[in-house]
Amino acid sequence: MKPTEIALLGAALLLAGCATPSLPQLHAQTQELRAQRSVVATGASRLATELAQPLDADRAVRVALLNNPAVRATLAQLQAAQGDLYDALRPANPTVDLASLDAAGGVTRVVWSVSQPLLDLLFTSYRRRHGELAMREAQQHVADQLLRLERDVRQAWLQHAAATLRLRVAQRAAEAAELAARLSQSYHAAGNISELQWRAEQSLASEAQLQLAAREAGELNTRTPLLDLLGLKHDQQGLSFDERLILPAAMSPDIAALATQALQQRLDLAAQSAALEIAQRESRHSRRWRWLPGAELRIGSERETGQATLTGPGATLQLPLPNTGAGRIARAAALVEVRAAELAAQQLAVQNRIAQDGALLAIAGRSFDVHARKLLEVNQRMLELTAEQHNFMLIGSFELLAARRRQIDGSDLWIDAIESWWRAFNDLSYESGTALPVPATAAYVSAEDLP
Amino acid sequence: MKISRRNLLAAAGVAPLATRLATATAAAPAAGGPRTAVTTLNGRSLPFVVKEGVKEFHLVAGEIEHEFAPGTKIRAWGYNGSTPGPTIEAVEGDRVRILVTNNLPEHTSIHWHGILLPNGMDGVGGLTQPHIEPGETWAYEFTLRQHGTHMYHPHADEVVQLANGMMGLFIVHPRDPSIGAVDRDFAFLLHNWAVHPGTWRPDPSVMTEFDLWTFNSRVFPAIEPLVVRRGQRVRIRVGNLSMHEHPIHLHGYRLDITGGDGGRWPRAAWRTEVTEIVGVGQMRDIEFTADEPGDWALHCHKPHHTMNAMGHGIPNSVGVDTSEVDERLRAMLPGYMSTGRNGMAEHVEHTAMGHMPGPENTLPMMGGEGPFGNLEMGGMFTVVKVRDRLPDGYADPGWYQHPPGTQARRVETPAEDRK
Ligand SMILES: [Cu+2]
Repeated sequence: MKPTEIALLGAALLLAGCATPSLPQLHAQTQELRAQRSVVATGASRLATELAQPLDADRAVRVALLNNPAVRATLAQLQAAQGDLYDALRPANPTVDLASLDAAGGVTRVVWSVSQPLLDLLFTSYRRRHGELAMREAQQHVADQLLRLERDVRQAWLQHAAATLRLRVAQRAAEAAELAARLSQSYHAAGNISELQWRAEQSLASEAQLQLAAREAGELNTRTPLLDLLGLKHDQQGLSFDERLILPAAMSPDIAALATQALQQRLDLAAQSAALEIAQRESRHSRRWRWLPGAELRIGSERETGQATLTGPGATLQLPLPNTGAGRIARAAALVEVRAAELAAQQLAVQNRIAQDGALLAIAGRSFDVHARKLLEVNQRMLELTAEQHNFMLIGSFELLAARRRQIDGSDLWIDAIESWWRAFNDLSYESGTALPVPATAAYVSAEDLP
Repeated sequence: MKISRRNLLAAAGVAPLATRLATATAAAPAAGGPRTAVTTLNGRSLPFVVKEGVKEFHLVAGEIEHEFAPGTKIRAWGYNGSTPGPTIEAVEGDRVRILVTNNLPEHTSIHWHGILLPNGMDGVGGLTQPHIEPGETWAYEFTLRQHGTHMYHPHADEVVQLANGMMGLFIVHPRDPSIGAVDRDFAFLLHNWAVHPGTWRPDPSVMTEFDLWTFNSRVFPAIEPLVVRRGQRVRIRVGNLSMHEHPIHLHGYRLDITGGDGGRWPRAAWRTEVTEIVGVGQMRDIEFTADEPGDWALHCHKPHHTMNAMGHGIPNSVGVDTSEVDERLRAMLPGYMSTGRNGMAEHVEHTAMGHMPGPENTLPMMGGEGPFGNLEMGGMFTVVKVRDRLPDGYADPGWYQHPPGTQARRVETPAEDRK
């Protein structure tokens, strides 16, 4: 995948790398992310370009980012977060009280005051920091959702590609079975095999056809979730899929390093850290200023007909009795606990996922290298040897065709091995918060390469 | 004891010497006057030394490499480097001592099949003697009180040792050379082998479904022809150490069956046959006077015994029209050829031409080429070649040249559209 082509993911990954951006940086990054929204909204021509070629996994990710409706919703969350920041940066608007009181005898008293909650004025910088954190949490959340979408698209594409290959395998197996059935019919017509033997071959052919139908359903069942992720309708004009899989390559990533890296770079962890920090600040704040919950500063004047105008400041204090604010403080402290526990749980889950995916990748790589490759080689050799036996009339044609069917069926396990590897690879890539390098010496396998 | 390389070499080293001495034996007049030496097809007789009036032979049992015909070699067990082992030839009244060295990885013994002898010399391991352990040499010694066609084979772990090819002929000539005198005296053993296609060691577990059927452990076309000068009296000695009976059939002659397990029969007991069944464990002497020149087929009359390994119980393709699916079959199975619709001859043609490679170390089920085309034979088949003149002695004289007017001829060719 070319990073420049995936500005969204680029921005998302950029976020992953930043420690504590300044407010202007945050704004710039948010604008960058939001700019992609307009690309998404007006990306019809880019979409057409992407769809002009068979969709491989990378192209599918690009199409999803351009076209998946959920991406629009995700990016809209940024706009909401910007609104929140705007609010957070400004103190509450002052309150103006105005009263005109008439008494008998044409006496009028005019009273007005402007009041402002005391804490708002005192804690401007507190609010600014709070807003920054909230903004950052939103950004990281959005970027994480995009990376998650990328992972989901890759997995869905993989499932569909594997199902398509299995469908091709079933088509070949069905053809082999059908040939055996027709051949057996000829043998029976010549009087050389019984109806029972003929029917046995027919029965196998019917089973193969049913298997083929199941594989067709399997392909369809993986296509629809992929289309959903791509934001495409089932009858999308000109849509075609690249039916090749890239062969797994030997790789043994440093799982411990990936786990450490994930703790630093996972965007969902960063978002949760920000949420924790917000909760901590709020808790501290509410403890420190518990005695001034409703304090207000006020300036006002009072003028009565014929009297001098009285002007001066004032203040309102809420008495900390009977509510001492302990409830608020306890709630804030509890929220800190909740956020901290959530973060710890997620950190644990991430570490365990990485360990699991790393192990799965190793198993899948080993079974592919050692067994799956050998399986195809050995099956091929077995068919050659069976053909030699057939050449010398040591076995009959039906045995040869059965061997061919076994060889074809063996491809399923091979496809399983490749799919397992890529599933682990895609998961590990997401879980570690970094794009693992795709095997450089990529060799493709298509239905034509299967026996 | 494991078979060492040295042991194998020692066993193999006996063979050339044995061949030389066998020639000498054949040329030298034996006690009682000149008699015709036995011609063991693809084999030889075992040399002996005379020690204080006793003819001393030495058999060495061991693992060997054996070739049934070019294209199929196996690891077999035999004697003095071959299967069958060399033929023991002696004369009625001889005192013989037969040393037996065991270079096999397991114990063995030798039973002298059909020979009259003291019980303790009968060679039944566990019954008449302890087994001959690996590395040991034992001596059997007895006086020959009979004449006739006999055999030797192990009587220890027989299923394995016979399946592996351990056997030999033991021929006792009459003391009176005029009894049963012939000009050519051929001998061979019938055997069956479970050498499954693609393998190179006999499978002793097989009881009935064998892959190869042999005269002296060879299959056609690797079995030597029986070369005879016209007018000669010929004897063919046949022993059967296989698991099946074999109707041995010779073309062109009425055969006198002159002897069996008990030795030579009185003239009145002879039978005239063209096919003689040789049962399991039996011997038969077949004689005729070769008065009609030509190439005469000599074979077991069970058609599957004149074939090499083939599938049994596979769907019969004769008469099956596969043209509808042939093209798709070839697309699905590169190299696929559908043969057999009109019989198997076409198949033989393809395998003979190498169009259809078979399993390694495996002979096609039928083969052999004659002067007029494929012989479509294998297994127990060879040719008795009777000639007026044999300028090269008993070397293979080639194919028979039929005198004009003595050969079947085509009297009608098919119309063009039937070709
Ligand atoms: Cu036979």
